[in-house]
Amino acid sequence: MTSQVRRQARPSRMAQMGGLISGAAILTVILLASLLASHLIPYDPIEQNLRDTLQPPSLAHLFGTDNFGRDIFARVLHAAKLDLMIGFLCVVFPWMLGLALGGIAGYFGGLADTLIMRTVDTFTAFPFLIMVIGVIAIMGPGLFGMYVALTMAGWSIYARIVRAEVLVIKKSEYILAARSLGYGHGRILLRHVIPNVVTPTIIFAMTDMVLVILSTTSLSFLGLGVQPPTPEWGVMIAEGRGFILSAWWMVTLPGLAVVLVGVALSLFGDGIARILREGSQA
Amino acid sequence: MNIITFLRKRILQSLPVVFGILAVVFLVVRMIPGDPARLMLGIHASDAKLSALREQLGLDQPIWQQFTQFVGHAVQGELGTSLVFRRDVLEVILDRLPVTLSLVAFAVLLSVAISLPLAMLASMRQGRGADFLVRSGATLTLAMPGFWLGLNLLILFAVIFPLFPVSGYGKGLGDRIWHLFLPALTIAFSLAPILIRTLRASLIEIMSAPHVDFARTKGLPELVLIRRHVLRNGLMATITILGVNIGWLIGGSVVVETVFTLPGIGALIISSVTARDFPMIQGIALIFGGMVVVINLVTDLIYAALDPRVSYD
Repeated sequence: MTSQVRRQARPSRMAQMGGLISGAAILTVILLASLLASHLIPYDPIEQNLRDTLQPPSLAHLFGTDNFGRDIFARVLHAAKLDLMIGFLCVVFPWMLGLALGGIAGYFGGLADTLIMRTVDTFTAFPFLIMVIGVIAIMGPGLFGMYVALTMAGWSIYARIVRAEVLVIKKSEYILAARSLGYGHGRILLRHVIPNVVTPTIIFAMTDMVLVILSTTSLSFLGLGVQPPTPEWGVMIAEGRGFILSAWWMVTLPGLAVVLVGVALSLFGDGIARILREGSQA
Repeated sequence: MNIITFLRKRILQSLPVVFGILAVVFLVVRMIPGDPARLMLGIHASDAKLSALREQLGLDQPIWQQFTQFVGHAVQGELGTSLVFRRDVLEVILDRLPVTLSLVAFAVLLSVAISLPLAMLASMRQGRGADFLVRSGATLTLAMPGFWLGLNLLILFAVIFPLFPVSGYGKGLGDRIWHLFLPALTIAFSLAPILIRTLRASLIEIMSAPHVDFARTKGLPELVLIRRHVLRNGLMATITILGVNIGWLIGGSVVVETVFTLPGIGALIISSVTARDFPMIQGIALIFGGMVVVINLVTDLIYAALDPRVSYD
Protein backbone atom coordinates (compact mmCIF):
# COMPACT_ATOMS: atom_id res chain seq x y z
CA MET A 1 0.00 0.00 0.00
CA THR A 2 1.22 3.52 -0.72
CA SER A 3 1.96 5.94 2.08
CA GLN A 4 -0.81 8.22 0.83
CA VAL A 5 -3.46 5.61 1.49
CA ARG A 6 -2.07 4.90 4.93
CA ARG A 7 -2.07 8.59 5.83
CA GLN A 8 -5.74 8.84 4.89
CA ALA A 9 -6.62 5.76 6.89
CA ARG A 10 -5.01 6.78 10.17
CA PRO A 11 -7.43 9.43 11.53
CA SER A 12 -10.47 7.39 10.55
CA ARG A 13 -8.93 4.36 12.25
CA MET A 14 -8.50 6.41 15.41
CA ALA A 15 -12.14 7.48 15.14
CA GLN A 16 -13.19 3.87 14.67
CA MET A 17 -11.25 2.76 17.74
CA GLY A 18 -12.85 5.60 19.71
CA GLY A 19 -16.27 4.44 18.51
CA LEU A 20 -15.47 0.84 19.39
CA ILE A 21 -14.31 1.73 22.89
CA SER A 22 -17.17 4.12 23.68
CA GLY A 23 -19.73 1.67 22.24
CA ALA A 24 -18.32 -1.15 24.36
CA ALA A 25 -18.21 1.12 27.42
CA ILE A 26 -21.86 2.16 27.07
CA LEU A 27 -22.97 -1.45 26.62
CA THR A 28 -20.93 -2.63 29.62
CA VAL A 29 -22.33 0.12 31.85
CA ILE A 30 -25.91 -0.66 30.79
CA LEU A 31 -25.43 -4.39 31.31
CA LEU A 32 -23.80 -3.95 34.73
CA ALA A 33 -26.45 -1.46 35.84
CA SER A 34 -29.12 -3.90 34.73
CA LEU A 35 -27.57 -6.85 36.59
CA LEU A 36 -27.16 -4.76 39.74
CA ALA A 37 -30.46 -2.91 39.31
CA SER A 38 -32.08 -4.29 42.47
CA HIS A 39 -29.11 -2.98 44.52
CA LEU A 40 -28.95 0.38 42.75
CA ILE A 41 -32.61 1.35 42.90
CA PRO A 42 -34.92 0.80 45.86
CA TYR A 43 -38.00 0.18 43.68
CA ASP A 44 -39.40 -3.14 42.52
CA PRO A 45 -39.89 -3.31 38.72
CA ILE A 46 -43.18 -5.23 38.89
CA GLU A 47 -44.86 -4.55 42.23
CA GLN A 48 -47.63 -1.95 41.93
CA ASN A 49 -47.81 1.14 44.11
CA LEU A 50 -51.17 2.72 43.43
CA ARG A 51 -50.56 5.76 45.66
CA ASP A 52 -47.77 7.02 43.36
CA THR A 53 -49.28 6.65 39.89
CA LEU A 54 -48.25 8.80 36.91
CA GLN A 55 -45.69 10.91 38.79
CA PRO A 56 -43.61 13.11 36.45
CA PRO A 57 -39.80 12.68 36.50
CA SER A 58 -38.27 13.92 39.76
CA LEU A 59 -35.25 13.19 41.95
CA ALA A 60 -37.14 10.39 43.70
CA HIS A 61 -38.28 8.89 40.38
CA LEU A 62 -35.74 9.81 37.67
CA PHE A 63 -38.01 8.72 34.79
CA GLY A 64 -41.28 9.24 36.70
CA THR A 65 -43.79 6.50 37.49
CA ASP A 66 -46.30 4.65 35.30
CA ASN A 67 -50.05 4.13 35.64
CA PHE A 68 -49.45 1.41 38.27
CA GLY A 69 -47.07 3.60 40.27
CA ARG A 70 -44.00 1.57 39.25
CA ASP A 71 -40.68 3.43 38.94
CA ILE A 72 -39.96 3.68 35.21
CA PHE A 73 -36.19 4.00 35.63
CA ALA A 74 -36.11 0.76 37.64
CA ARG A 75 -38.15 -0.98 34.96
CA VAL A 76 -35.93 0.37 32.17
CA LEU A 77 -32.80 -0.90 33.94
CA HIS A 78 -34.27 -4.32 34.72
CA ALA A 79 -35.44 -4.62 31.12
CA ALA A 80 -31.94 -4.09 29.69
CA LYS A 81 -30.69 -7.61 30.40
CA LEU A 82 -33.75 -9.18 28.79
CA ASP A 83 -33.62 -6.90 25.73
CA LEU A 84 -29.89 -7.39 25.22
CA MET A 85 -30.24 -11.16 25.59
CA ILE A 86 -33.11 -11.32 23.10
CA GLY A 87 -31.18 -9.11 20.67
CA PHE A 88 -28.10 -11.32 21.00
CA LEU A 89 -29.90 -14.66 20.65
CA CYS A 90 -32.04 -13.42 17.74
CA VAL A 91 -28.82 -12.73 15.86
CA VAL A 92 -27.00 -15.91 16.96
CA PHE A 93 -29.77 -18.37 16.00
CA PRO A 94 -30.24 -17.11 12.41
CA TRP A 95 -26.47 -16.82 12.10
CA MET A 96 -25.98 -20.49 13.05
CA LEU A 97 -28.76 -21.71 10.77
CA GLY A 98 -27.49 -19.59 7.87
CA LEU A 99 -23.92 -20.77 8.44
CA ALA A 100 -25.00 -24.42 8.36
CA LEU A 101 -27.34 -24.22 5.35
CA GLY A 102 -25.17 -21.78 3.36
CA GLY A 103 -22.14 -23.99 4.05
CA ILE A 104 -23.94 -27.11 2.84
CA ALA A 105 -25.30 -25.34 -0.26
CA GLY A 106 -21.90 -23.96 -1.24
CA TYR A 107 -19.80 -27.00 -0.38
CA PHE A 108 -21.92 -29.79 -1.86
CA GLY A 109 -23.57 -27.85 -4.69
CA GLY A 110 -25.97 -29.73 -6.93
CA LEU A 111 -29.45 -30.51 -5.67
CA ALA A 112 -28.77 -29.36 -2.10
CA ASP A 113 -27.57 -26.01 -3.46
CA THR A 114 -30.62 -25.58 -5.70
CA LEU A 115 -33.10 -26.49 -2.97
CA ILE A 116 -31.51 -24.32 -0.30
CA MET A 117 -30.93 -21.30 -2.52
CA ARG A 118 -34.47 -21.32 -3.97
CA THR A 119 -35.73 -21.42 -0.38
CA VAL A 120 -33.47 -18.46 0.38
CA ASP A 121 -34.98 -16.55 -2.58
CA THR A 122 -38.47 -17.21 -1.29
CA PHE A 123 -37.70 -16.20 2.27
CA THR A 124 -36.04 -12.97 1.18
CA ALA A 125 -39.07 -12.11 -0.98
CA PHE A 126 -41.24 -11.63 2.10
CA PRO A 127 -41.02 -8.33 3.92
CA PHE A 128 -39.05 -9.14 7.09
CA LEU A 129 -41.70 -8.08 9.60
CA ILE A 130 -44.54 -9.79 7.69
CA MET A 131 -42.65 -13.09 7.80
CA VAL A 132 -42.00 -12.65 11.52
CA ILE A 133 -45.64 -11.80 12.26
CA GLY A 134 -46.86 -14.74 10.18
CA VAL A 135 -44.71 -17.21 12.11
CA ILE A 136 -45.70 -15.68 15.46
CA ALA A 137 -49.35 -16.06 14.42
CA ILE A 138 -48.71 -19.81 14.26
CA MET A 139 -46.41 -20.15 17.27
CA GLY A 140 -48.46 -17.85 19.47
CA PRO A 141 -47.17 -14.56 20.95
CA GLY A 142 -44.34 -14.77 23.48
CA LEU A 143 -40.61 -15.16 23.81
CA PHE A 144 -40.33 -18.61 22.22
CA GLY A 145 -42.45 -17.64 19.21
CA MET A 146 -40.31 -14.56 18.75
CA TYR A 147 -37.07 -16.60 18.71
CA VAL A 148 -38.46 -19.02 16.12
CA ALA A 149 -39.91 -16.21 13.99
CA LEU A 150 -36.78 -14.08 13.93
CA THR A 151 -34.65 -17.13 13.15
CA MET A 152 -36.89 -18.10 10.24
CA ALA A 153 -36.93 -14.56 8.90
CA GLY A 154 -33.24 -13.81 9.42
CA TRP A 155 -31.22 -16.86 8.34
CA SER A 156 -31.50 -16.41 4.58
CA ILE A 157 -29.10 -13.45 4.28
CA TYR A 158 -26.46 -15.30 6.31
CA ALA A 159 -26.89 -18.37 4.09
CA ARG A 160 -26.36 -16.22 1.00
CA ILE A 161 -23.18 -14.63 2.37
CA VAL A 162 -21.74 -17.99 3.53
CA ARG A 163 -22.50 -19.76 0.26
CA ALA A 164 -20.72 -17.09 -1.79
CA GLU A 165 -17.64 -17.38 0.44
CA VAL A 166 -17.64 -21.18 0.44
CA LEU A 167 -17.74 -21.28 -3.35
CA VAL A 168 -14.40 -19.44 -3.38
CA ILE A 169 -12.78 -21.33 -0.47
CA LYS A 170 -13.71 -24.75 -1.72
CA LYS A 171 -11.41 -24.38 -4.74
CA SER A 172 -8.38 -23.46 -2.63
CA GLU A 173 -5.39 -25.77 -2.35
CA TYR A 174 -5.63 -26.62 1.33
CA ILE A 175 -9.15 -27.96 0.82
CA LEU A 176 -7.89 -30.11 -2.04
CA ALA A 177 -5.05 -31.23 0.22
CA ALA A 178 -7.51 -32.16 2.96
CA ARG A 179 -9.55 -34.11 0.42
CA SER A 180 -6.53 -36.00 -0.86
CA LEU A 181 -5.61 -36.89 2.74
CA GLY A 182 -8.94 -38.68 2.78
CA TYR A 183 -10.75 -36.49 5.30
CA GLY A 184 -14.53 -36.79 5.28
CA HIS A 185 -16.79 -34.02 4.03
CA GLY A 186 -18.13 -33.33 7.51
CA ARG A 187 -14.67 -32.77 8.95
CA ILE A 188 -13.56 -30.57 6.04
CA LEU A 189 -16.73 -28.49 6.22
CA LEU A 190 -16.55 -27.99 9.99
CA ARG A 191 -12.80 -27.69 10.54
CA HIS A 192 -11.53 -26.16 7.30
CA VAL A 193 -14.29 -24.39 5.40
CA ILE A 194 -16.58 -22.83 8.01
CA PRO A 195 -13.83 -21.23 10.15
CA ASN A 196 -12.59 -19.43 7.05
CA VAL A 197 -15.95 -17.97 6.03
CA VAL A 198 -17.07 -16.74 9.45
CA THR A 199 -15.59 -13.22 9.27
CA PRO A 200 -17.95 -11.62 6.72
CA THR A 201 -20.96 -13.10 8.52
CA ILE A 202 -19.83 -11.55 11.80
CA ILE A 203 -19.37 -8.19 10.08
CA PHE A 204 -22.96 -8.42 8.84
CA ALA A 205 -24.21 -9.68 12.21
CA MET A 206 -22.87 -6.54 13.86
CA THR A 207 -25.08 -4.25 11.75
CA ASP A 208 -27.90 -6.79 11.93
CA MET A 209 -28.02 -6.64 15.71
CA VAL A 210 -29.24 -3.02 15.80
CA LEU A 211 -32.10 -3.86 13.43
CA VAL A 212 -32.92 -7.01 15.41
CA ILE A 213 -33.18 -5.09 18.70
CA LEU A 214 -35.48 -2.59 16.96
CA SER A 215 -37.58 -5.46 15.59
CA THR A 216 -37.89 -7.27 18.91
CA THR A 217 -38.97 -4.12 20.74
CA SER A 218 -41.43 -3.44 17.90
CA LEU A 219 -42.90 -6.95 18.29
CA SER A 220 -43.32 -6.51 22.03
CA PHE A 221 -44.86 -3.09 21.39
CA LEU A 222 -47.36 -4.73 19.04
CA GLY A 223 -48.21 -7.28 21.75
CA LEU A 224 -46.59 -10.18 19.87
CA GLY A 225 -43.38 -10.60 21.86
CA VAL A 226 -42.63 -10.24 25.56
CA GLN A 227 -45.84 -9.99 27.55
CA PRO A 228 -46.64 -7.56 30.38
CA PRO A 229 -46.00 -7.15 33.28
CA THR A 230 -42.42 -8.26 32.42
CA PRO A 231 -40.37 -5.09 32.10
CA GLU A 232 -39.29 -4.79 28.45
CA TRP A 233 -38.76 -1.55 26.55
CA GLY A 234 -41.32 -2.19 23.80
CA VAL A 235 -43.90 -3.37 26.34
CA MET A 236 -43.34 -0.27 28.46
CA ILE A 237 -43.79 2.06 25.48
CA ALA A 238 -46.97 0.19 24.52
CA GLU A 239 -48.30 0.66 28.07
CA GLY A 240 -47.54 4.38 27.84
CA ARG A 241 -49.48 4.73 24.60
CA GLY A 242 -52.77 5.23 26.39
CA PHE A 243 -51.30 8.10 28.41
CA ILE A 244 -49.64 10.27 25.77
CA LEU A 245 -52.02 13.10 26.59
CA SER A 246 -51.09 13.17 30.28
CA ALA A 247 -47.81 11.29 30.87
CA TRP A 248 -45.33 11.72 27.99
CA TRP A 249 -42.51 10.24 30.11
CA MET A 250 -44.07 6.77 29.96
CA VAL A 251 -43.39 6.70 26.20
CA THR A 252 -40.42 8.97 25.66
CA LEU A 253 -38.02 7.91 28.42
CA PRO A 254 -38.01 4.08 27.96
CA GLY A 255 -37.39 4.69 24.24
CA LEU A 256 -34.21 6.59 25.06
CA ALA A 257 -32.79 3.30 26.37
CA VAL A 258 -33.44 1.66 22.98
CA VAL A 259 -31.80 4.57 21.16
CA LEU A 260 -28.77 4.52 23.49
CA VAL A 261 -28.27 0.78 23.06
CA GLY A 262 -28.76 1.11 19.29
CA VAL A 263 -26.14 3.84 18.96
CA ALA A 264 -23.71 1.94 21.22
CA LEU A 265 -24.18 -1.23 19.17
CA SER A 266 -23.64 0.71 15.92
CA LEU A 267 -20.39 2.24 17.21
CA PHE A 268 -19.19 -1.09 18.61
CA GLY A 269 -20.23 -3.04 15.52
CA ASP A 270 -18.65 -0.60 13.05
CA GLY A 271 -15.42 -0.79 15.04
CA ILE A 272 -15.36 -4.59 15.16
CA ALA A 273 -16.28 -4.81 11.48
CA ARG A 274 -13.42 -2.45 10.59
CA ILE A 275 -10.90 -4.50 12.55
CA LEU A 276 -12.11 -7.82 11.11
CA ARG A 277 -12.12 -6.42 7.58
CA GLU A 278 -8.53 -5.19 7.90
CA GLY A 279 -7.53 -8.50 9.47
CA SER A 280 -9.00 -10.52 6.63
CA GLN A 281 -7.33 -8.32 4.01
CA ALA A 282 -3.88 -8.56 5.60
CA MET B 1 -33.47 -6.82 -26.36
CA ASN B 2 -36.67 -4.78 -26.37
CA ILE B 3 -38.90 -4.02 -23.45
CA ILE B 4 -41.46 -6.77 -24.10
CA THR B 5 -38.85 -9.53 -24.16
CA PHE B 6 -37.26 -8.04 -21.07
CA LEU B 7 -40.58 -8.00 -19.24
CA ARG B 8 -41.34 -11.57 -20.24
CA LYS B 9 -37.93 -12.74 -19.08
CA ARG B 10 -38.17 -10.93 -15.74
CA ILE B 11 -41.68 -12.24 -15.10
CA LEU B 12 -40.48 -15.78 -15.84
CA GLN B 13 -37.62 -15.23 -13.38
CA SER B 14 -40.08 -14.16 -10.67
CA LEU B 15 -42.27 -17.24 -11.10
CA PRO B 16 -40.23 -19.57 -8.84
CA VAL B 17 -40.32 -16.90 -6.12
CA VAL B 18 -44.09 -16.49 -6.46
CA PHE B 19 -44.43 -20.27 -6.28
CA GLY B 20 -42.20 -20.32 -3.20
CA ILE B 21 -44.28 -17.59 -1.54
CA LEU B 22 -47.44 -19.63 -2.15
CA ALA B 23 -45.77 -22.76 -0.78
CA VAL B 24 -44.53 -21.03 2.38
CA VAL B 25 -47.90 -19.42 3.09
CA PHE B 26 -49.60 -22.77 2.49
CA LEU B 27 -47.17 -24.84 4.56
CA VAL B 28 -46.90 -22.49 7.54
CA VAL B 29 -50.55 -23.01 8.51
CA ARG B 30 -50.21 -26.79 7.98
CA MET B 31 -47.18 -26.81 10.29
CA ILE B 32 -49.48 -26.31 13.25
CA PRO B 33 -49.55 -29.50 15.30
CA GLY B 34 -53.06 -30.88 15.72
CA ASP B 35 -56.15 -29.69 13.91
CA PRO B 36 -55.73 -26.29 12.20
CA ALA B 37 -59.51 -25.80 12.15
CA ARG B 38 -59.68 -26.28 15.91
CA LEU B 39 -56.78 -23.88 16.41
CA MET B 40 -58.36 -21.22 14.22
CA LEU B 41 -61.81 -21.39 15.75
CA GLY B 42 -60.80 -22.00 19.36
CA ILE B 43 -61.79 -24.70 21.82
CA HIS B 44 -65.43 -23.66 22.09
CA ALA B 45 -66.25 -24.01 18.38
CA SER B 46 -69.15 -26.22 17.40
CA ASP B 47 -68.62 -29.37 15.33
CA ALA B 48 -70.60 -27.91 12.44
CA LYS B 49 -68.37 -24.85 12.26
CA LEU B 50 -65.26 -27.01 12.49
CA SER B 51 -66.26 -29.25 9.62
CA ALA B 52 -67.29 -26.25 7.51
CA LEU B 53 -63.85 -24.70 7.98
CA ARG B 54 -62.11 -28.04 7.32
CA GLU B 55 -63.96 -28.17 4.06
CA GLN B 56 -63.07 -24.57 3.18
CA LEU B 57 -59.40 -25.35 3.80
CA GLY B 58 -59.71 -28.74 2.10
CA LEU B 59 -58.19 -30.46 5.13
CA ASP B 60 -59.92 -33.75 4.33
CA GLN B 61 -57.87 -34.20 1.15
CA PRO B 62 -54.26 -35.37 0.60
CA ILE B 63 -51.74 -32.57 1.05
CA TRP B 64 -50.65 -32.22 -2.60
CA GLN B 65 -54.31 -31.91 -3.60
CA GLN B 66 -54.80 -29.28 -0.93
CA PHE B 67 -51.85 -27.39 -2.36
CA THR B 68 -52.99 -27.47 -6.00
CA GLN B 69 -56.43 -26.36 -4.84
CA PHE B 70 -54.89 -23.57 -2.76
CA VAL B 71 -52.76 -22.35 -5.69
CA GLY B 72 -55.71 -22.63 -8.07
CA HIS B 73 -57.86 -20.50 -5.80
CA ALA B 74 -55.09 -17.99 -5.08
CA VAL B 75 -54.43 -17.45 -8.79
CA GLN B 76 -58.12 -16.64 -9.26
CA GLY B 77 -58.00 -14.22 -6.34
CA GLU B 78 -60.00 -16.48 -4.03
CA LEU B 79 -58.18 -16.16 -0.75
CA GLY B 80 -60.98 -17.56 1.39
CA THR B 81 -63.36 -15.98 3.89
CA SER B 82 -62.19 -13.99 6.88
CA LEU B 83 -63.14 -15.61 10.18
CA VAL B 84 -63.59 -12.18 11.77
CA PHE B 85 -65.16 -10.04 9.04
CA ARG B 86 -67.18 -12.92 7.52
CA ARG B 87 -66.30 -11.39 4.17
CA ASP B 88 -64.05 -12.30 1.26
CA VAL B 89 -60.42 -11.84 2.34
CA LEU B 90 -59.39 -10.15 -0.90
CA GLU B 91 -62.28 -7.66 -0.65
CA VAL B 92 -61.27 -6.61 2.85
CA ILE B 93 -57.62 -6.28 1.77
CA LEU B 94 -58.49 -4.26 -1.36
CA ASP B 95 -60.62 -1.93 0.79
CA ARG B 96 -57.60 -1.14 2.92
CA LEU B 97 -54.82 -1.32 0.33
CA PRO B 98 -55.09 2.36 -0.77
CA VAL B 99 -54.30 3.53 2.78
CA THR B 100 -51.10 1.47 2.97
CA LEU B 101 -50.04 2.28 -0.59
CA SER B 102 -50.49 6.04 -0.16
CA LEU B 103 -48.68 5.88 3.19
CA VAL B 104 -45.72 4.05 1.65
CA ALA B 105 -45.63 6.33 -1.42
CA PHE B 106 -45.77 9.46 0.73
CA ALA B 107 -43.02 8.04 2.96
CA VAL B 108 -40.81 7.35 -0.06
CA LEU B 109 -41.26 10.95 -1.30
CA LEU B 110 -40.46 12.40 2.12
CA SER B 111 -37.43 10.17 2.65
CA VAL B 112 -35.97 11.13 -0.74
CA ALA B 113 -36.67 14.80 0.01
CA ILE B 114 -34.76 14.42 3.30
CA SER B 115 -31.95 12.14 2.14
CA LEU B 116 -30.92 13.51 -1.25
CA PRO B 117 -29.93 17.03 -0.10
CA LEU B 118 -28.29 15.71 3.09
CA ALA B 119 -26.34 13.04 1.24
CA MET B 120 -25.20 15.61 -1.33
CA LEU B 121 -24.12 17.99 1.41
CA ALA B 122 -22.22 15.22 3.20
CA SER B 123 -20.50 13.99 0.06
CA MET B 124 -19.47 17.50 -1.04
CA ARG B 125 -18.09 18.31 2.41
CA GLN B 126 -16.58 14.84 2.88
CA GLY B 127 -14.59 14.52 6.12
CA ARG B 128 -15.64 17.96 7.41
CA GLY B 129 -18.10 19.17 10.02
CA ALA B 130 -21.27 18.97 7.92
CA ASP B 131 -20.40 15.43 6.84
CA PHE B 132 -19.80 14.40 10.45
CA LEU B 133 -23.12 15.95 11.55
CA VAL B 134 -25.10 14.22 8.82
CA ARG B 135 -23.49 10.86 9.53
CA SER B 136 -23.97 11.11 13.30
CA GLY B 137 -27.58 12.14 12.72
CA ALA B 138 -28.05 9.07 10.53
CA THR B 139 -26.58 6.73 13.17
CA LEU B 140 -28.82 8.28 15.82
CA THR B 141 -32.00 8.08 13.71
CA LEU B 142 -31.23 4.50 12.67
CA ALA B 143 -31.31 3.49 16.34
CA MET B 144 -34.79 4.98 16.89
CA PRO B 145 -37.62 2.44 16.87
CA GLY B 146 -40.37 3.59 14.48
CA PHE B 147 -43.18 3.15 17.00
CA TRP B 148 -41.33 5.27 19.57
CA LEU B 149 -40.50 8.00 17.07
CA GLY B 150 -44.11 8.02 15.87
CA LEU B 151 -45.49 8.35 19.40
CA ASN B 152 -43.05 11.17 20.16
CA LEU B 153 -44.01 13.02 16.98
CA LEU B 154 -47.62 12.59 18.13
CA ILE B 155 -46.86 13.99 21.57
CA LEU B 156 -44.94 16.90 20.07
CA PHE B 157 -47.00 17.86 17.00
CA ALA B 158 -50.48 16.64 17.90
CA VAL B 159 -50.68 17.05 21.68
CA ILE B 160 -48.29 19.83 22.76
CA PHE B 161 -48.50 21.78 19.47
CA PRO B 162 -51.78 20.57 17.94
CA LEU B 163 -50.75 21.03 14.30
CA PHE B 164 -51.67 17.54 13.10
CA PRO B 165 -54.45 15.06 13.92
CA VAL B 166 -53.80 12.33 16.50
CA SER B 167 -55.22 9.53 14.36
CA GLY B 168 -57.45 8.67 11.41
CA TYR B 169 -57.23 8.82 7.66
CA GLY B 170 -59.37 11.81 6.63
CA LYS B 171 -61.47 12.50 3.54
CA GLY B 172 -60.38 14.20 0.30
CA LEU B 173 -56.84 14.65 -0.95
CA GLY B 174 -55.69 17.63 1.14
CA ASP B 175 -57.17 16.23 4.33
CA ARG B 176 -55.53 12.86 3.69
CA ILE B 177 -52.11 14.40 3.10
CA TRP B 178 -52.57 16.25 6.39
CA HIS B 179 -53.56 13.04 8.19
CA LEU B 180 -50.78 10.98 6.63
CA PHE B 181 -47.99 13.51 7.15
CA LEU B 182 -46.81 12.39 10.62
CA PRO B 183 -47.10 8.65 9.85
CA ALA B 184 -45.24 9.07 6.56
CA LEU B 185 -42.60 11.22 8.26
CA THR B 186 -42.07 8.45 10.84
CA ILE B 187 -41.38 5.85 8.15
CA ALA B 188 -39.25 8.37 6.22
CA PHE B 189 -37.09 8.89 9.31
CA SER B 190 -36.38 5.20 9.61
CA LEU B 191 -35.60 4.88 5.89
CA ALA B 192 -33.58 8.09 5.55
CA PRO B 193 -30.45 6.93 7.46
CA ILE B 194 -30.13 3.86 5.21
CA LEU B 195 -30.63 6.03 2.12
CA ILE B 196 -28.21 8.71 3.30
CA ARG B 197 -25.42 6.23 4.08
CA THR B 198 -25.59 4.43 0.75
CA LEU B 199 -26.22 7.58 -1.28
CA ARG B 200 -23.32 9.41 0.31
CA ALA B 201 -20.96 6.59 -0.61
CA SER B 202 -22.17 6.40 -4.20
CA LEU B 203 -22.17 10.20 -4.66
CA ILE B 204 -18.55 10.34 -3.47
CA GLU B 205 -17.72 7.71 -6.03
CA ILE B 206 -19.59 9.56 -8.79
CA MET B 207 -17.93 12.89 -7.99
CA SER B 208 -14.47 11.46 -8.49
CA ALA B 209 -15.47 9.69 -11.72
CA PRO B 210 -13.46 10.71 -14.83
CA HIS B 211 -16.42 12.28 -16.65
CA VAL B 212 -17.16 14.57 -13.70
CA ASP B 213 -13.47 15.50 -13.42
CA PHE B 214 -13.47 16.29 -17.12
CA ALA B 215 -16.61 18.42 -16.88
CA ARG B 216 -15.04 20.33 -14.02
CA THR B 217 -11.82 20.94 -15.99
CA LYS B 218 -13.96 22.12 -18.87
CA GLY B 219 -15.08 24.90 -16.53
CA LEU B 220 -18.67 23.84 -16.00
CA PRO B 221 -20.21 25.73 -13.06
CA GLU B 222 -20.49 23.47 -9.99
CA LEU B 223 -24.30 23.67 -9.89
CA VAL B 224 -24.72 22.67 -13.53
CA LEU B 225 -22.18 19.92 -12.98
CA ILE B 226 -24.15 18.52 -10.08
CA ARG B 227 -27.48 18.78 -11.83
CA ARG B 228 -26.31 17.24 -15.09
CA HIS B 229 -23.78 14.66 -14.05
CA VAL B 230 -24.06 13.87 -10.37
CA LEU B 231 -27.76 14.11 -9.61
CA ARG B 232 -28.85 11.83 -12.42
CA ASN B 233 -26.53 9.09 -11.23
CA GLY B 234 -27.51 9.80 -7.65
CA LEU B 235 -31.15 9.27 -8.60
CA MET B 236 -30.27 5.86 -10.03
CA ALA B 237 -28.59 4.89 -6.78
CA THR B 238 -31.62 6.13 -4.83
CA ILE B 239 -34.00 3.96 -6.84
CA THR B 240 -31.81 0.90 -6.37
CA ILE B 241 -31.60 1.42 -2.61
CA LEU B 242 -35.35 2.02 -2.38
CA GLY B 243 -36.01 -1.17 -4.34
CA VAL B 244 -33.76 -3.20 -2.05
CA ASN B 245 -35.40 -1.77 1.07
CA ILE B 246 -39.01 -2.06 -0.01
CA GLY B 247 -39.61 -4.94 2.39
CA TRP B 248 -38.28 -2.79 5.23
CA LEU B 249 -40.65 0.01 4.18
CA ILE B 250 -43.68 -2.26 4.13
CA GLY B 251 -42.70 -3.65 7.54
CA GLY B 252 -42.54 -0.06 8.78
CA SER B 253 -46.12 0.49 7.66
CA VAL B 254 -47.29 -2.28 10.02
CA VAL B 255 -45.92 -0.53 13.08
CA VAL B 256 -46.80 2.99 12.02
CA GLU B 257 -50.38 2.16 11.07
CA THR B 258 -50.85 0.67 14.52
CA VAL B 259 -49.40 3.75 16.24
CA PHE B 260 -51.53 6.22 14.25
CA THR B 261 -54.58 3.90 14.07
CA LEU B 262 -54.70 4.08 10.27
CA PRO B 263 -57.12 1.62 8.63
CA GLY B 264 -54.46 -0.02 6.41
CA ILE B 265 -53.26 -3.59 5.84
CA GLY B 266 -50.45 -3.28 8.37
CA ALA B 267 -52.83 -2.65 11.24
CA LEU B 268 -55.10 -5.37 9.83
CA ILE B 269 -52.43 -8.08 10.06
CA ILE B 270 -51.84 -7.28 13.74
CA SER B 271 -55.52 -7.45 14.63
CA SER B 272 -55.80 -10.66 12.58
CA VAL B 273 -52.97 -12.27 14.55
CA THR B 274 -54.66 -11.37 17.83
CA ALA B 275 -57.98 -12.73 16.52
CA ARG B 276 -56.30 -15.84 14.99
CA ASP B 277 -57.89 -15.01 11.63
CA PHE B 278 -55.66 -17.33 9.59
CA PRO B 279 -57.26 -16.93 6.14
CA MET B 280 -56.73 -13.19 6.54
CA ILE B 281 -53.09 -13.57 7.65
CA GLN B 282 -52.43 -15.89 4.69
CA GLY B 283 -54.05 -13.41 2.32
CA ILE B 284 -52.05 -10.46 3.62
CA ALA B 285 -48.78 -12.41 3.49
CA LEU B 286 -49.51 -13.35 -0.13
CA ILE B 287 -50.38 -9.77 -1.09
CA PHE B 288 -47.28 -8.33 0.62
CA GLY B 289 -45.02 -11.00 -0.89
CA GLY B 290 -46.53 -10.32 -4.30
CA MET B 291 -46.09 -6.57 -3.82
CA VAL B 292 -42.37 -7.02 -3.20
CA VAL B 293 -42.02 -9.09 -6.38
CA VAL B 294 -43.93 -6.50 -8.44
CA ILE B 295 -42.02 -3.55 -6.98
CA ASN B 296 -38.69 -5.22 -7.71
CA LEU B 297 -39.86 -5.65 -11.29
CA VAL B 298 -40.90 -2.00 -11.52
CA THR B 299 -37.56 -0.90 -10.04
CA ASP B 300 -35.72 -2.81 -12.76
CA LEU B 301 -37.90 -1.19 -15.42
CA ILE B 302 -37.35 2.36 -14.10
CA TYR B 303 -33.68 1.61 -13.82
CA ALA B 304 -33.44 0.56 -17.44
CA ALA B 305 -35.51 3.57 -18.53
CA LEU B 306 -33.28 6.05 -16.66
CA ASP B 307 -29.91 4.65 -17.64
CA PRO B 308 -29.31 4.23 -21.38
CA ARG B 309 -26.39 1.93 -20.60
CA VAL B 310 -28.67 -0.64 -18.98
CA SER B 311 -30.14 -2.51 -21.89
CA TYR B 312 -33.13 -4.66 -21.10
CA ASP B 313 -31.20 -7.83 -20.40
